[in-house]
Amino acid sequence: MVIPSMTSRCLRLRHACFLVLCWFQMAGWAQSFTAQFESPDGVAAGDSAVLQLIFSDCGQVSPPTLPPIENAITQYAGQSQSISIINGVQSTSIIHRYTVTPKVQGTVVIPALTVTVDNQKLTSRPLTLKVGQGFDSSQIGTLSLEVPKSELYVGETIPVTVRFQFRHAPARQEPPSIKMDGFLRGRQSGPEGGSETIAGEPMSVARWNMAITAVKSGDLDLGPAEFPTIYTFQSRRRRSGPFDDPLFNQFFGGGGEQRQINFQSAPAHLHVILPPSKGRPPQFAGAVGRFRMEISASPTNVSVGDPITVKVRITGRGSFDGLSLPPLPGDSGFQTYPGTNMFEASDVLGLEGVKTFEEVLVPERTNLKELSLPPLAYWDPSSRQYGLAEARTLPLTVRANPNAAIPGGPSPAALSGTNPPPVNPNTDLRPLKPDLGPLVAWSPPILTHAWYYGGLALPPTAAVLVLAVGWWQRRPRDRSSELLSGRRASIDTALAEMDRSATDGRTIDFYEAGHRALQEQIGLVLGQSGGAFTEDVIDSALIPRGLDGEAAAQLHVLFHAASMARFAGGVSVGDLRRMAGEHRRMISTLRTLEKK
Amino acid sequence: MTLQTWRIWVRFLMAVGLFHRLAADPQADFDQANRALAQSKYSDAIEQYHRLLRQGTSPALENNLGLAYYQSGQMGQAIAHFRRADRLAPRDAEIQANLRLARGKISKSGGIEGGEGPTLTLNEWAFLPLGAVWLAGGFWGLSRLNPRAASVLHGYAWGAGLLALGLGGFVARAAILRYQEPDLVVVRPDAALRQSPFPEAKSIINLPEGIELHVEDVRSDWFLVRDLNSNRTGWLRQDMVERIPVR
Repeated sequence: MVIPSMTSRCLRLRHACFLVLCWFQMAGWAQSFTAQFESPDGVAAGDSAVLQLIFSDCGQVSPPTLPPIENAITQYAGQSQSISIINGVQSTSIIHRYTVTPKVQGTVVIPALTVTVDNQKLTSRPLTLKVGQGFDSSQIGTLSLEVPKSELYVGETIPVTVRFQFRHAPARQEPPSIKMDGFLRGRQSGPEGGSETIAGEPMSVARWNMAITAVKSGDLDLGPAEFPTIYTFQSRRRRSGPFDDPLFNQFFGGGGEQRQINFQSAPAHLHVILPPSKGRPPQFAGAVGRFRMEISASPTNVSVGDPITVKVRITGRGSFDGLSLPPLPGDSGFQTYPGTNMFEASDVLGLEGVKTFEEVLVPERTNLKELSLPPLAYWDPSSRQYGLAEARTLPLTVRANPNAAIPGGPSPAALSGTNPPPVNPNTDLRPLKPDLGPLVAWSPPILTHAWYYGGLALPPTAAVLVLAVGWWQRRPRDRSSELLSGRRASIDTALAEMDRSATDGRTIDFYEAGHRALQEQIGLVLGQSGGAFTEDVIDSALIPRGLDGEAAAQLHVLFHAASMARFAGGVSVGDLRRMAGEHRRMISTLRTLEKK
Repeated sequence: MTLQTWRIWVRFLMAVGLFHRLAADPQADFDQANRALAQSKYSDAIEQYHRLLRQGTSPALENNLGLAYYQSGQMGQAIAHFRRADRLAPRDAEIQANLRLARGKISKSGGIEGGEGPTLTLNEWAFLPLGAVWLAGGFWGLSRLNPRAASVLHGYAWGAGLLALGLGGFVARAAILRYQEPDLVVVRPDAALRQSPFPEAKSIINLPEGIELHVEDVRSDWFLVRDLNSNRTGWLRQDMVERIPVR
């Protein structure tokens, strides 16, 4: 009695173990998605925390796109895989890592994230990251934006300086940038280093100079300037925590933790006004500065239609970027063509220099004695008045074109100066295209449209369809009809053989073929295979199926003739042909019974 | 508002829209922009060309806009618009010459030298096998209608079909080559190639204006690009470049 009881207990224990293992196995298979920070105790502003998105038993999961996180910058940092075996059950986790860099002190909230894995939606819990106070970057250095004046004119170019004074040099840095709305940035130089004593403390100073041009009027803010740097600090492990971060004694000679610090200056408030309308010369086109203009031309002794290259040098100080030549009046007698221009700065910021315009003019008539350009009008912000830069007048000799009357010479259009000057293919731009042509929208190539491939497939598809329909119409409807048509074909073959035998006078062959045809046809009437019917079938089967007496008698005659023919020979061809007709008529009669 | 009032409003708005459409004369605007360019008023010309670009584009418009940028010294924009013009009219020798000149200006700083060879647009390529397939289908259909000439027409159909296959291969090759071409042009002098698509990311290299790059990936307002000269890959902000659409 004891042994059976123990056996029973052992069995129950085994079942229980099996169930537990199954439960663990099931638990191992369950997909899960968890979001967590590697260091949940928090970070300092500007420092980075690592967010882990852990997918357990989900197979390969592509990195989810994080939603925009307020007051923080996120960046994907890669993936890893971990395999764990617990109680013999294997579990695989894919971990996607993201760096989260808070911008300000407070908290950063990672909302609940929902991802779809194998058509199943998995949602993580929302996370909150405490953000401690970052370090005071002003203890390392300060950034300032220096502007020489607070009031300027639209179109005026001024130098501005970004100044960084610091106690400790960054490990790496990028050039500073200035946020500018209403200004255009020109050339820049720097950095220029140096040292100064400020409030009794020696400080290092770096300066970047750049030219800016005001492009709209109003009270505008220039800046702030930003200077992204990377500093190397003592490793975090030596510190007590991210919230008590006395940084200033922690600069390291080599190694350590790198941290990005963005220095920012205060913006500069500028009052930008338009040059006054009072006293404005009619030629004024927005040039601001102080300029002089010189002109030279070559050749100056030309025929009508010959090109003259005109060089105009504008020197001075001001905004050269938008500086253009005043246009010749419409009745100047010259046809103008687009030219080139070049600026050579005499200072690093391009505030002073020489802008050279080179244009091609073609005289259109002979009575042109001189070439004079309209003056360049400019607003001088330093003297606050308009000025005119005038070039001297160049004497010119324009002769009639001697080739005008020569056959093959320049056309009248060339004489009138409407043809462009010859083009040097290596150095000259091609002329403007005068005709706009139809305006079209940029659209993806038709190769990317499905209809294109539909158009390619349509003709072969249509051909295949036509062939398939033809085959379908020609094919036998089913197996029985296929057999039926086969048996009809054999009847036709037998009848043809019968006719040939009649013509050749082969009596035995004639009756054999005719009898075969009759047998096959009777088989079709009775729904049986032919070839084995005796004469009795006429009375026993065909007459009950509707064969009339006359036809039955005729069929008896044909059966009898076939039997007799094997023993008697010498039937004439005429008789055989008559009998052939009898056979055919009988076959037709029997076919009518098929339908019944 | 009653239905009648609605109808009156709709008709009025349609009439105003039609009037504006009729009143707009792109060629007149184009002439005006060309005049500004001939008078060296580059910024005016550029602005007017851009206004026209809002209505659509054309090879002449892109070419002249490229000329305006070229003459104002903005080689990146000039190359971008010459390349767009070349994509629209790939057999226009004048556009190719302008593109060659503009590229020559920046070739010392790593740009591509020369222009693009005469070729077809991808759409033109694509229509060739399409036409050949339809031709083959047409010959085959005629052979069905006219059995007496079937053998000759079948020969034509096979010939056109084989031609379509061959042209299909050319189209595939042209598409692969076109999509491998650099499709970005740096248009700013301070374009920093960065390690990741963030303004704070480390700068790998500063790219010169006018250099042409190939897009590998796009993320929000950043392009992952490859510099074909140095074979370096990095992220570039979208406002630093002009994209050349595939055509």
